[in-house]
Amino acid sequence: VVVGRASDGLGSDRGELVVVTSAGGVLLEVLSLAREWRGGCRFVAADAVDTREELRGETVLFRTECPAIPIPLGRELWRALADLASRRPALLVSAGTGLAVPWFVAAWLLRVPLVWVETLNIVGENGLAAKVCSRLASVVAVQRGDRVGAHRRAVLVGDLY
Amino acid sequence: MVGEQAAEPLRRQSIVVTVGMGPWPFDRLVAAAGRLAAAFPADYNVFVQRGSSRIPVPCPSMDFVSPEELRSRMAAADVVVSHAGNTLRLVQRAGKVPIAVARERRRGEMGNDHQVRYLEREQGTSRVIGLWGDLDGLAAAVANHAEAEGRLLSARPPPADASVAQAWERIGAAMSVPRRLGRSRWARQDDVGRAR
Repeated sequence: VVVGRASDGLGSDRGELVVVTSAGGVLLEVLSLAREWRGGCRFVAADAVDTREELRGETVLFRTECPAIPIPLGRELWRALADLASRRPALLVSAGTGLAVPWFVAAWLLRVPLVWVETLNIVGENGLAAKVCSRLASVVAVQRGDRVGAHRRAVLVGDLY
Repeated sequence: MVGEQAAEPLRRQSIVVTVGMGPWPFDRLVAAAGRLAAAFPADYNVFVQRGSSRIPVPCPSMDFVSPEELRSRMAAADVVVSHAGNTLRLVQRAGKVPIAVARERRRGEMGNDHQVRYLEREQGTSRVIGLWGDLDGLAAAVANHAEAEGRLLSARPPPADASVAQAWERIGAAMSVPRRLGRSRWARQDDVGRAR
């Protein structure tokens, strides 16, 4: 799945990155990573003012996400399975929140490598989506040194934005 | 002539209040911002980004603003009051000290209390002023902000620099390391391959 330069294990031609993101702070974090990705990139994003603006010009699948209308997990999982099976991305990345769950489950089932980014303002117990996604992830990128021990597959990456 | 010089009008301080882009209403902070604007119309020029809150405020407000506009407003503001989200880091990187209010689960402001834990940690170590409870202390916090900001800027270090290229290197290195069976899908593939 991953080819190229050996020094960082990802390579200079990394293939396609899929970024799944909600609005707000998590968008800042995954957008920072996406901008440094050497390869194709597309987004699955909660439909919001900031995602619409920040992702202008990008390939984006906008989804509805709000507490009053929970994401229909089954339907979203099916959509994610169909999408990922046909496109076979090199990597899927997310920092949250609920929208990430069906996409992480689908990617995990299809053996697409996963990176969960623990958002900067997590200093204690994770929310439900983060618990699910971090357990499925190949790597959990944490931004605080004292969070390395909170996940089995944690790697300290420092501040992302 | 002494005593007849026209007094220079005081500039109204610019206050930006933001509750973030998430779907949870943050009525407590929006209402407090409204009280501040109503009580000190001659002192403060308050702008409120209200999110999904339906609380009316007697000052300019928008439900959501674009990231570019929010950054511009925060850069120009004398005081930024924010929910305890990732916005705090943006304000700190702009060389300012935000006043922060954590969303609380028991008040229906979020699905969990991670902002509470985050702000409890940050207010003891970083460049932020935490505000809690019913937020009646907002006016005092704004009035005392300049002094508190100066003190915190000199006493506490700026946020660490971000290095995303280095982040990818570390992520890639971690993904290239085989793991024990059952600890990662990479490891399962490797181990199955070896078993055959």
